[in-house]
Amino acid sequence: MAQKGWEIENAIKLVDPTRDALYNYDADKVKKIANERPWRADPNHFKYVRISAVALVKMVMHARSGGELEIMGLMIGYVEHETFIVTDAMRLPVEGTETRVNAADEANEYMVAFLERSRQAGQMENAVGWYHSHPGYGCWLSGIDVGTQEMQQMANEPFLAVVIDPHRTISAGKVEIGAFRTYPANHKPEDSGSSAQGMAAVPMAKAADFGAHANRYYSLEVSHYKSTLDAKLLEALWNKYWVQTLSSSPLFTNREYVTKQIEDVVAKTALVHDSMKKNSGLPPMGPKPKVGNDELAKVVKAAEKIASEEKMGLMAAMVKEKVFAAAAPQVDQAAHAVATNGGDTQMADVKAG
Amino acid sequence: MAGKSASSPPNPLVITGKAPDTPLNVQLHPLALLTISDYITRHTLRSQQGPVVGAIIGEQSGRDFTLEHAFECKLEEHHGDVLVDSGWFTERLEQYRDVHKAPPLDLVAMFALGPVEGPQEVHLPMLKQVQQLTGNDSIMLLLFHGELVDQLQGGKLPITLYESVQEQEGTQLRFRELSFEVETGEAEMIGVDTVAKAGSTAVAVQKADTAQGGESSKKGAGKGKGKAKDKDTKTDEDGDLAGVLSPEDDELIASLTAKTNAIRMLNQRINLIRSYLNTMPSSYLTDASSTTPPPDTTNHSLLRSVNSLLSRVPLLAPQTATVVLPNGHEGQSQQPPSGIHAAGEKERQDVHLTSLLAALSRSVAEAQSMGSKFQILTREKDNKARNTYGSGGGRGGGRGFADEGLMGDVSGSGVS
Repeated sequence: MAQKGWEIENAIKLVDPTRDALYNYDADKVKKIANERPWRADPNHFKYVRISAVALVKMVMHARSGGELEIMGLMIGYVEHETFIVTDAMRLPVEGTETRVNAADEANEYMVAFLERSRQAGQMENAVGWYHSHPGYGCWLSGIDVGTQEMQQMANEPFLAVVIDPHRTISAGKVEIGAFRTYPANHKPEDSGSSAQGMAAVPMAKAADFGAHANRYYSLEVSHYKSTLDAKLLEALWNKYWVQTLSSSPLFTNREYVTKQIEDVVAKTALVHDSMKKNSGLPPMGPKPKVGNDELAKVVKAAEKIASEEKMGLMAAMVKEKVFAAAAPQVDQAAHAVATNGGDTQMADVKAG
Repeated sequence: MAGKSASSPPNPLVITGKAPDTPLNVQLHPLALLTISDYITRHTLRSQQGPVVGAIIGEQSGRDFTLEHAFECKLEEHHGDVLVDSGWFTERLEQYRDVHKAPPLDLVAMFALGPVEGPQEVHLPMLKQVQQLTGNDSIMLLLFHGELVDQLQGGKLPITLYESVQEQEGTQLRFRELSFEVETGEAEMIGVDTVAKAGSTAVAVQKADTAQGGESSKKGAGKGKGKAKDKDTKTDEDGDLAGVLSPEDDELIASLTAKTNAIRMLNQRINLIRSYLNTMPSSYLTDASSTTPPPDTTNHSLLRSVNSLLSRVPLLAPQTATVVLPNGHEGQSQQPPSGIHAAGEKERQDVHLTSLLAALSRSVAEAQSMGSKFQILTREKDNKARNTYGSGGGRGGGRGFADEGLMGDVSGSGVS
């Protein structure tokens, strides 16, 4: 095959095997994990989700394109230790999924054909979850969603449910996304209050549906990743928006969002405090302190996230001040000097001319 | 678009010169670029065979094109030519058309890795085949220049877009470079922005319970976990991980880098304005005694905008700056801090307050985990004591009670 012109040698330099490790795919390892099934022992086995840049943007755009209708799609990827790794996402030709129980079945044929073609092209990952949108009413699982996910977790493990709210995304300027896994039917979660507490922003109309099923699933921590090549391209792309980068005031524009986050952390802290009080009466043994630790650790992480975001906002404001305002007095003097000169000479010109 | 070196011989396949009078209006969406980059990374890292080739779908209305989504293509070889598998390609295109119906998207371009000089002989058969398959002669070719990626400056993307031109029937297909602009929808911008800012790398996932995480340092694998573990094992970190930053640090660095780039751009633009002004002939502004009127070619509106820009800058001066007092000495201004200044102070204090609260919560969590670990330790010690010294039960019991009191204190203070 004529190699010249296809620039294959150059492509090697564009990836970094350590920092882009998630883009690799080890089919044997995946098969081994599928045989071992470590998730059977622990209903809370999976705790984290990492979504690739491409998958995230595709899902957000798909959710937005549905407008007021719920849309649905499939995620492909693999699992490692306690993490789901979502490498890509694909749309499904189904809409309005919240009112129908078996929306997924209609798309079955499409799904199978699409995955088969992807595999033929070299994309060997299996389906690892499904995503759908809740336009305007937050990221949680409705009764129907829980049913669907329970079924998937019995038949297609490992499987993940992701929900995106495109309206809140647009209004907050940040992606509103949640990842969930359901408990098996006979499992009672230890602290049944916490998942309900975390999602304080469910509108009244949906609150009943939310409350009734909130104990049947738990949420995973979502983060995203991108490749080194992605990072370089994004830097170049965002150079086009440099004015906005310098002039933005994140502390000001995100005030509402940050207040909401702080309220959320406060609520979670109060919860942890209460549960601690309950447990400290008897000498704590075995699993209880561990649970307390987990909850407290989550609170700490949320608090630190807020703090670091605020710090970045402050840095933006400081940069603005240093770049523009610090030297302003000197500029002012210089401007005045020039202006007076010009004024005098203008008079001279008028007199002369 | 891409930096072409003047010394290389001109590419016979590329038509240079001005574009026709009604140029095509092409808008590239960031998602297409991200998809291409994702495919390149995957393809290279997984050592897949064959070149990197794919298709881009978008909307076409008249002479306006958009490049919105992209996907990779299955290739096959035919007498030394690289072609797409036509059966696979038609079905795949149909699958994409099925889910992109409003607005209806269709194939508008093919992408491939290519050198800066432009399309090569090897790109032709694939493009011609696709044009035949879809019956659309205006399929464009997008070349991604790997060699330019490390020398990106000033927002230039390492890609070039070409439209195919067939001057007469039967002659060879040639290409003309197209200019394009980057356009994005609201949701796309937020998604891309989130990903761009996050600064997270794709380092491999580490097993949670091994000692790689935990207190040894916050610099775990980019998973965002800083949890203290209940296990006490503490081993040295993997050599690779030592160089990887925690996600918070990564985010901070990413945002600072973005700011640096923005400032660099600002500097470039200012230098541009300055050098333009320097080329202006001398006039009464530079030399008070000159009486030559400004030449007729001066761009007055441009000079006026520069002037207005400069006159706005002094407005930013903070109120408590040093001013020259009437007696010639510099001193602090006696004016009260302005509203803006006070608001800025308050914001700063708020930020520091949140940092303090976060640090406080972390200390509480660590104290509490220490308490529970201590408790486990003493419990183990107690059990051992009871097992080995059956007779010293009183002493062990006594110690146990004392320890329990201590435990109660520690866990109490850890929580309240």
